[in-house]
Amino acid sequence: MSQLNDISLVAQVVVFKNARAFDELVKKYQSAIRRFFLNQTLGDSELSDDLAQETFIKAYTNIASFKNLSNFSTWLYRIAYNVFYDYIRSRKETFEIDAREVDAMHSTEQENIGQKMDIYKSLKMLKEVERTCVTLFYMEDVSIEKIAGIIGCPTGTVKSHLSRGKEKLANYLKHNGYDRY
Amino acid sequence: MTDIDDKIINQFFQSEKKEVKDNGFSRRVMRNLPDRGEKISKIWVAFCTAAGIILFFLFDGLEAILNILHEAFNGAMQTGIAHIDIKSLLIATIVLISLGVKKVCHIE
Repeated sequence: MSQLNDISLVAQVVVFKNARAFDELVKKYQSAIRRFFLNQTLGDSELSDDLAQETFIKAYTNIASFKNLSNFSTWLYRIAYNVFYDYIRSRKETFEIDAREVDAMHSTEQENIGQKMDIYKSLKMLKEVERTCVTLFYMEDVSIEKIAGIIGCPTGTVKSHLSRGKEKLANYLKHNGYDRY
Repeated sequence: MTDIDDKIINQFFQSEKKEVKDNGFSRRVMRNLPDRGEKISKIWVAFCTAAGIILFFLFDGLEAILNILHEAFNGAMQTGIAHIDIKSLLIATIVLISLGVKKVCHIE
Protein backbone atom coordinates (compact mmCIF):
# COMPACT_ATOMS: atom_id res chain seq x y z
CA MET A 1 0.00 0.00 0.00
CA SER A 2 2.82 2.32 1.02
CA GLN A 3 4.77 1.39 -2.10
CA LEU A 4 1.72 2.07 -4.29
CA ASN A 5 1.36 5.45 -2.64
CA ASP A 6 5.04 6.19 -3.35
CA ILE A 7 4.63 5.23 -7.02
CA SER A 8 1.58 7.48 -7.28
CA LEU A 9 3.51 10.40 -5.74
CA VAL A 10 6.52 9.79 -8.02
CA ALA A 11 4.20 9.71 -11.07
CA GLN A 12 2.70 13.05 -10.04
CA VAL A 13 6.18 14.58 -9.76
CA VAL A 14 7.33 13.17 -13.13
CA VAL A 15 4.19 13.91 -15.16
CA PHE A 16 2.79 17.09 -13.58
CA LYS A 17 5.95 18.43 -11.91
CA ASN A 18 3.83 18.43 -8.76
CA ALA A 19 6.05 19.91 -6.04
CA ARG A 20 3.48 19.11 -3.35
CA ALA A 21 3.76 15.39 -4.16
CA PHE A 22 7.54 15.61 -3.82
CA ASP A 23 7.11 17.48 -0.54
CA GLU A 24 5.11 14.49 0.76
CA LEU A 25 7.94 12.14 -0.23
CA VAL A 26 10.50 14.37 1.53
CA LYS A 27 8.38 14.47 4.71
CA LYS A 28 7.94 10.69 4.61
CA TYR A 29 11.62 9.81 4.16
CA GLN A 30 13.49 12.72 5.79
CA SER A 31 13.82 10.95 9.13
CA ALA A 32 15.29 7.72 7.67
CA ILE A 33 17.69 9.53 5.33
CA ARG A 34 18.90 11.99 7.98
CA ARG A 35 19.34 9.14 10.48
CA PHE A 36 21.35 7.25 7.84
CA PHE A 37 23.69 10.24 7.43
CA LEU A 38 23.89 10.82 11.20
CA ASN A 39 25.15 7.26 11.57
CA GLN A 40 27.63 7.58 8.70
CA THR A 41 29.02 10.91 9.94
CA LEU A 42 29.03 9.73 13.58
CA GLY A 43 26.46 12.31 14.67
CA ASP A 44 27.44 15.44 12.74
CA SER A 45 23.92 16.84 12.40
CA GLU A 46 24.82 19.88 10.29
CA LEU A 47 26.76 17.82 7.76
CA SER A 48 24.02 15.15 7.80
CA ASP A 49 21.34 17.73 6.95
CA ASP A 50 23.45 19.15 4.10
CA LEU A 51 24.05 15.69 2.65
CA ALA A 52 20.38 14.73 3.11
CA GLN A 53 19.32 17.90 1.31
CA GLU A 54 21.70 17.09 -1.55
CA THR A 55 20.20 13.59 -1.69
CA PHE A 56 16.63 14.87 -2.03
CA ILE A 57 17.62 17.47 -4.63
CA LYS A 58 19.39 14.76 -6.67
CA ALA A 59 16.33 12.52 -6.29
CA TYR A 60 14.11 15.34 -7.57
CA THR A 61 16.28 16.13 -10.60
CA ASN A 62 16.66 12.42 -11.51
CA ILE A 63 13.20 11.23 -10.51
CA ALA A 64 12.33 10.33 -14.12
CA SER A 65 15.07 7.66 -13.97
CA PHE A 66 13.29 5.84 -11.11
CA LYS A 67 12.18 2.71 -12.94
CA ASN A 68 10.22 1.11 -10.12
CA LEU A 69 12.51 -1.95 -10.18
CA SER A 70 13.15 -1.35 -6.50
CA ASN A 71 11.33 0.41 -3.67
CA PHE A 72 11.48 4.18 -3.68
CA SER A 73 13.27 3.97 -0.29
CA THR A 74 15.96 1.64 -1.73
CA TRP A 75 16.46 4.01 -4.67
CA LEU A 76 16.74 6.95 -2.24
CA TYR A 77 19.26 5.08 -0.04
CA ARG A 78 21.34 4.37 -3.13
CA ILE A 79 21.47 8.10 -3.94
CA ALA A 80 22.29 8.84 -0.28
CA TYR A 81 25.10 6.26 -0.33
CA ASN A 82 26.58 7.82 -3.50
CA VAL A 83 26.28 11.34 -2.05
CA PHE A 84 28.10 10.24 1.11
CA TYR A 85 30.90 8.49 -0.76
CA ASP A 86 31.30 11.45 -3.14
CA TYR A 87 31.69 13.60 -0.01
CA ILE A 88 34.24 11.22 1.53
CA ARG A 89 36.19 11.13 -1.75
CA SER A 90 36.20 14.92 -2.04
CA ARG A 91 37.44 15.22 1.56
CA LYS A 92 40.17 12.70 0.89
CA GLU A 93 41.26 14.54 -2.25
CA THR A 94 41.27 17.87 -0.43
CA PHE A 95 43.09 16.90 2.71
CA GLU A 96 44.81 13.69 1.62
CA ILE A 97 43.89 11.94 4.80
CA ASP A 98 42.58 8.44 5.20
CA ALA A 99 39.13 7.31 6.26
CA ARG A 100 40.09 6.76 9.87
CA GLU A 101 41.26 10.35 10.16
CA VAL A 102 37.92 11.51 8.71
CA ASP A 103 36.17 9.49 11.40
CA ALA A 104 38.38 10.90 14.12
CA MET A 105 37.69 14.42 12.86
CA HIS A 106 33.92 13.90 13.01
CA SER A 107 34.13 12.43 16.48
CA THR A 108 35.96 15.47 17.87
CA GLU A 109 33.25 17.73 16.44
CA GLN A 110 30.64 15.67 18.26
CA GLU A 111 31.89 15.58 21.82
CA ASN A 112 28.78 17.08 23.38
CA ILE A 113 26.05 14.85 22.01
CA GLY A 114 25.57 13.03 25.32
CA GLN A 115 23.44 9.91 25.25
CA LYS A 116 23.96 9.23 21.53
CA MET A 117 27.70 8.93 22.07
CA ASP A 118 27.63 5.19 22.67
CA ILE A 119 26.22 4.38 19.26
CA TYR A 120 28.62 6.74 17.50
CA LYS A 121 31.54 5.39 19.55
CA SER A 122 30.62 1.87 18.52
CA LEU A 123 30.13 2.84 14.86
CA LYS A 124 33.47 4.67 14.87
CA MET A 125 35.24 1.32 15.19
CA LEU A 126 33.82 0.14 11.88
CA LYS A 127 35.03 0.87 8.37
CA GLU A 128 32.64 3.09 6.37
CA VAL A 129 31.26 0.25 4.27
CA GLU A 130 30.77 -1.96 7.35
CA ARG A 131 29.02 0.94 9.06
CA THR A 132 26.71 1.39 6.07
CA CYS A 133 25.83 -2.32 5.97
CA VAL A 134 25.36 -2.64 9.73
CA THR A 135 23.18 0.47 10.16
CA LEU A 136 21.03 -0.32 7.12
CA PHE A 137 20.56 -3.92 8.30
CA TYR A 138 20.00 -3.43 12.03
CA MET A 139 18.56 0.05 12.28
CA GLU A 140 16.70 0.55 9.01
CA ASP A 141 15.66 -3.12 8.62
CA VAL A 142 16.87 -3.28 5.00
CA SER A 143 17.40 -6.83 3.66
CA ILE A 144 20.85 -8.08 2.55
CA GLU A 145 19.67 -8.21 -1.09
CA LYS A 146 18.55 -4.58 -0.96
CA ILE A 147 21.78 -3.48 0.75
CA ALA A 148 23.66 -5.18 -2.10
CA GLY A 149 21.59 -3.08 -4.55
CA ILE A 150 22.26 0.10 -2.58
CA ILE A 151 26.03 -0.26 -2.30
CA GLY A 152 26.35 -1.97 -5.69
CA CYS A 153 28.11 -5.20 -4.74
CA PRO A 154 27.21 -8.92 -4.49
CA THR A 155 25.22 -10.24 -1.52
CA GLY A 156 28.24 -12.33 -0.45
CA THR A 157 30.31 -9.19 -0.01
CA VAL A 158 27.54 -7.57 2.04
CA LYS A 159 27.42 -10.67 4.27
CA SER A 160 31.20 -10.41 4.80
CA HIS A 161 30.97 -6.72 5.73
CA LEU A 162 28.09 -7.49 8.09
CA SER A 163 29.93 -10.36 9.70
CA ARG A 164 33.09 -8.30 10.34
CA GLY A 165 31.04 -5.36 11.59
CA LYS A 166 28.97 -7.57 13.89
CA GLU A 167 32.08 -9.12 15.41
CA LYS A 168 33.60 -5.74 16.24
CA LEU A 169 30.29 -4.43 17.60
CA ALA A 170 29.61 -7.52 19.72
CA ASN A 171 33.03 -7.17 21.34
CA TYR A 172 32.49 -3.47 22.00
CA LEU A 173 28.99 -3.98 23.44
CA LYS A 174 30.07 -6.88 25.66
CA HIS A 175 33.04 -4.83 26.87
CA ASN A 176 30.66 -2.01 27.81
CA GLY A 177 28.18 -4.20 29.66
CA TYR A 178 25.42 -4.38 27.08
CA ASP A 179 25.25 -8.19 27.37
CA ARG A 180 23.84 -7.84 30.91
CA TYR A 181 20.52 -6.34 29.70
CA MET B 1 29.35 -15.10 15.84
CA THR B 2 26.59 -16.42 18.08
CA ASP B 3 22.85 -15.81 18.08
CA ILE B 4 23.31 -14.04 21.44
CA ASP B 5 25.72 -11.54 19.83
CA ASP B 6 23.19 -10.99 17.08
CA LYS B 7 20.47 -10.39 19.66
CA ILE B 8 22.63 -7.92 21.64
CA ILE B 9 23.43 -5.91 18.48
CA ASN B 10 19.81 -5.98 17.35
CA GLN B 11 18.56 -4.74 20.74
CA PHE B 12 21.24 -2.06 20.87
CA PHE B 13 20.36 -0.64 17.44
CA GLN B 14 16.60 -0.84 17.93
CA SER B 15 16.91 1.03 21.24
CA GLU B 16 19.00 3.71 19.53
CA LYS B 17 16.61 4.06 16.58
CA LYS B 18 14.95 7.45 17.02
CA GLU B 19 12.71 9.45 14.71
CA VAL B 20 14.47 12.59 13.48
CA LYS B 21 12.08 15.54 13.80
CA ASP B 22 11.55 17.56 10.64
CA ASN B 23 12.25 21.00 12.23
CA GLY B 24 11.88 22.82 8.91
CA PHE B 25 14.11 20.44 6.95
CA SER B 26 11.41 19.63 4.33
CA ARG B 27 10.73 23.33 3.81
CA ARG B 28 14.47 23.96 3.29
CA VAL B 29 14.65 21.18 0.70
CA MET B 30 11.57 22.45 -1.16
CA ARG B 31 12.99 26.00 -1.19
CA ASN B 32 16.21 24.72 -2.80
CA LEU B 33 14.69 22.61 -5.57
CA PRO B 34 16.31 23.63 -8.88
CA ASP B 35 13.39 24.82 -11.02
CA ARG B 36 11.49 26.46 -8.19
CA GLY B 37 13.47 29.71 -8.54
CA GLU B 38 12.83 29.71 -12.28
CA LYS B 39 9.11 29.23 -11.68
CA ILE B 40 9.02 32.09 -9.15
CA SER B 41 10.87 34.39 -11.57
CA LYS B 42 8.39 33.54 -14.38
CA ILE B 43 5.43 34.25 -12.07
CA TRP B 44 7.03 37.55 -11.00
CA VAL B 45 7.62 38.65 -14.64
CA ALA B 46 4.02 37.75 -15.56
CA PHE B 47 2.72 39.65 -12.52
CA CYS B 48 4.76 42.77 -13.32
CA THR B 49 3.70 42.70 -16.98
CA ALA B 50 0.02 42.37 -16.05
CA ALA B 51 0.35 45.18 -13.46
CA GLY B 52 2.07 47.40 -16.06
CA ILE B 53 -0.70 46.84 -18.65
CA ILE B 54 -3.47 47.47 -16.09
CA LEU B 55 -1.80 50.69 -14.85
CA PHE B 56 -1.22 51.84 -18.44
CA PHE B 57 -4.95 51.68 -19.22
CA LEU B 58 -6.04 52.83 -15.73
CA PHE B 59 -4.12 56.12 -16.05
CA ASP B 60 -5.01 56.67 -19.75
CA GLY B 61 -1.52 55.87 -20.94
CA LEU B 62 -2.60 55.73 -24.57
CA GLU B 63 -4.11 59.20 -24.43
CA ALA B 64 -0.99 60.56 -22.71
CA ILE B 65 1.26 59.16 -25.45
CA LEU B 66 -0.98 60.57 -28.19
CA ASN B 67 -0.94 63.99 -26.48
CA ILE B 68 2.86 63.99 -26.27
CA LEU B 69 3.20 63.03 -29.95
CA HIS B 70 0.65 65.67 -30.90
CA GLU B 71 2.51 68.36 -28.91
CA ALA B 72 5.84 67.32 -30.38
CA PHE B 73 4.41 67.48 -33.88
CA ASN B 74 2.83 70.89 -33.25
CA GLY B 75 6.11 72.19 -31.76
CA ALA B 76 8.04 71.03 -34.80
CA MET B 77 5.54 72.70 -37.07
CA GLN B 78 5.71 75.95 -35.08
CA THR B 79 9.52 76.21 -34.99
CA GLY B 80 9.38 75.86 -38.70
CA ILE B 81 9.98 72.90 -40.85
CA ALA B 82 12.24 75.02 -43.03
CA HIS B 83 14.86 75.18 -40.27
CA ILE B 84 15.26 71.41 -40.15
CA ASP B 85 18.60 70.22 -41.44
CA ILE B 86 17.80 67.26 -43.71
CA LYS B 87 21.38 65.98 -43.56
CA SER B 88 21.43 65.82 -39.72
CA LEU B 89 17.98 64.18 -39.69
CA LEU B 90 19.22 61.52 -42.13
CA ILE B 91 22.34 60.79 -40.05
CA ALA B 92 20.26 60.55 -36.85
CA THR B 93 17.80 58.14 -38.56
CA ILE B 94 20.66 55.91 -39.82
CA VAL B 95 22.27 55.84 -36.35
CA LEU B 96 18.95 54.95 -34.70
CA ILE B 97 18.26 52.16 -37.24
CA SER B 98 21.76 50.68 -36.82
CA LEU B 99 21.40 50.75 -33.02
CA GLY B 100 18.02 49.04 -33.32
CA VAL B 101 19.40 46.30 -35.61
CA LYS B 102 22.36 45.75 -33.25
CA LYS B 103 20.00 45.42 -30.27
CA VAL B 104 17.75 42.90 -32.07
CA CYS B 105 20.80 40.82 -33.14
CA HIS B 106 22.08 40.88 -29.55
CA ILE B 107 18.72 39.65 -28.17
CA GLU B 108 18.59 36.76 -30.68
